[in-house]
Amino acid sequence: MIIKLSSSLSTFKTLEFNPGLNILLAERHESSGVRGTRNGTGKTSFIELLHFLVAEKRNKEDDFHNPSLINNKFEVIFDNSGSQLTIEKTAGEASDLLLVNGREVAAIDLRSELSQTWFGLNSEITSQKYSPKFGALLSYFIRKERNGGFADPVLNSTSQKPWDSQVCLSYLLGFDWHLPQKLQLKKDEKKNADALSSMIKSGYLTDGELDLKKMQARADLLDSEIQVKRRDVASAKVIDGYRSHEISANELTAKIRDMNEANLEDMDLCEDIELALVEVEDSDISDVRSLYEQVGIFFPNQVQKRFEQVEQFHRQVSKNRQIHLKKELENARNRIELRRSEIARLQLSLSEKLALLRSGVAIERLSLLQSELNFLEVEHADLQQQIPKFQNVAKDQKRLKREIDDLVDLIEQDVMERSAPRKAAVQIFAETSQALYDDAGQLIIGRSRGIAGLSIETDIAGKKSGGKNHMQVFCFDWLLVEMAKKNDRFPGFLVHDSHIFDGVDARQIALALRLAHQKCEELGVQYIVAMNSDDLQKVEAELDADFSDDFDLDDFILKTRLSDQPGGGLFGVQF
Amino acid sequence: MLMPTKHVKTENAIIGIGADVLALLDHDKTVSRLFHDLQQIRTEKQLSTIHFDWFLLVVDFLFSVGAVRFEQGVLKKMNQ
Repeated sequence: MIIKLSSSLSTFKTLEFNPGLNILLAERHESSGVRGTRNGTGKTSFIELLHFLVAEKRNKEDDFHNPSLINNKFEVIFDNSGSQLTIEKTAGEASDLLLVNGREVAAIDLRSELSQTWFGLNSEITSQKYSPKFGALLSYFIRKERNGGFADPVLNSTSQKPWDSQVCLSYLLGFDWHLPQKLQLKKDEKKNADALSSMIKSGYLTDGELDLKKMQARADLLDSEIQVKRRDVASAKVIDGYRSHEISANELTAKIRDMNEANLEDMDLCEDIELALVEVEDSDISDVRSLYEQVGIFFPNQVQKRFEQVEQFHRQVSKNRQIHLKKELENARNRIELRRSEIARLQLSLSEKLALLRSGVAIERLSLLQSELNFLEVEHADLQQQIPKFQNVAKDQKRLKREIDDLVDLIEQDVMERSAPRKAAVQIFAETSQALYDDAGQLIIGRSRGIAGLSIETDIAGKKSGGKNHMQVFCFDWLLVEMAKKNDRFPGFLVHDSHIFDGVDARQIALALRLAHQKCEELGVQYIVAMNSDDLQKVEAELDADFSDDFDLDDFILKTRLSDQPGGGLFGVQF
Repeated sequence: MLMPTKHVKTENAIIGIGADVLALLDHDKTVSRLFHDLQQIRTEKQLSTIHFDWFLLVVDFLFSVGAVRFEQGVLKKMNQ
């Protein structure tokens, strides 16, 4: 149970609690006017404060890190079957300070201690995925209106996942919580299989069916491509200045081509000269004689040379021409020869260059090869990994669907076979609701219609209103208290915000408080409920009119009262 | 051969070519150079090139009438 709540903040209203029923009253003052509300009295902050003190995670956005509260120590004293536990927590700028019984401890250690003492959860359980967790269980006994904790009896907040609710409630009510846990694990697996399956469908598809053969073929092709590339890379010899070698090889080729062209020209020339030589040889001395005779006929007075002189001249000129031609011929032939040997030399060095270029690669080429290889290898590895998965995914989907169905069946069987807790739960809920509304409400525990798993539904008589819904929460929480207590999984207290009575008729509130008092006595538990003073007045009027017993609310109202006056709230400061 | 006839045009007769050769001998030239220059102007005039033996007869003619002489491998006009 909770013994005391205090703070180093001087304006804080220290709250001291008793065993059994405790009513924390928030008074409304006339001066606050018709529009005044009790918001800001701190009833909700009181709930937040309890969560803050045992919270594992640090939330810098919460009220306790607000400039007006930061660096103030808050303290709660719990009584766990006779031994006192003092928790002091100070919210700081950089970190929070947590003291348990005066010793500084890590929030996580406090939490595992409380998990054990309050809920019987050991670390072996809490470390499992989808197991009952301290925070979720506590949020049933200290519901937060802010998180929608009063909207649905089976949910501690509107954002609570169905599996979490199933696991927690199975644990508290005494059913096999491992079944909803296992169900959720299987659902995860199924989700993965479904995701994989849809991935396949968007990828390797043939007429809407997974084409494993296509994937295998691609993998095989990649395999051989990779081998070729690997060999290329392994044998690749990187040549320094590959580019410049390439350029000089091109230059050599151009030079050789130019020389070959020049040789062709010279060979044409030689041919021409040889023809000219033939022409020289053709010149017949007999033609010279007939020419000489003609000159003598046409220009008898102009002939100045004797025939022998002309003949000698003819031979000289002819010989000169021959010598000249022969020299030209020789020159041309020499040039051809020279070029040929030069070409041979160039060709040798060209073939050396080409051999060099063939034997190796430029560094850029090597890195290109390397990256191509990497790319192929990645795809290959990917396929190798995916193919077996894809082979199994269809099988997995079927298997998981079957297993999920089986688990839902098992959950139903579990609930049916554990008749003791089931009957107890149904009976307690019926009795509790009957105490409020005359007609017994129904608690239906069983399997869900689909594959959600465990289904717990509540229904109580009474009109359809927010009030009725809140009373379902009230009845359900008292069921949880009783069952959890039986199963030794109860922290010793139940705390309700004043929201539990929102929209509830004064008569039902009166009955609820009386019932709570009886349950507290009967079970030896603590119930702390916050109330607004005007609700209380109405309730007291109901009690005076309808009940003859000696149940008097004044006996349970806490000494410390909150109010909407300035400084009257729990913290005494506005923020 | 020497003079133009019904079948030999002036530009192909030895006397005609002789005139061209003399014109080309503005300074002394080797035999081959002179032959080359002659072929060139004939090509320019769109005339057929001539064989060397015909050219040689032209030079023989010019020598016999004392128009050219041959000295140390070069042909010279007589009056030069």
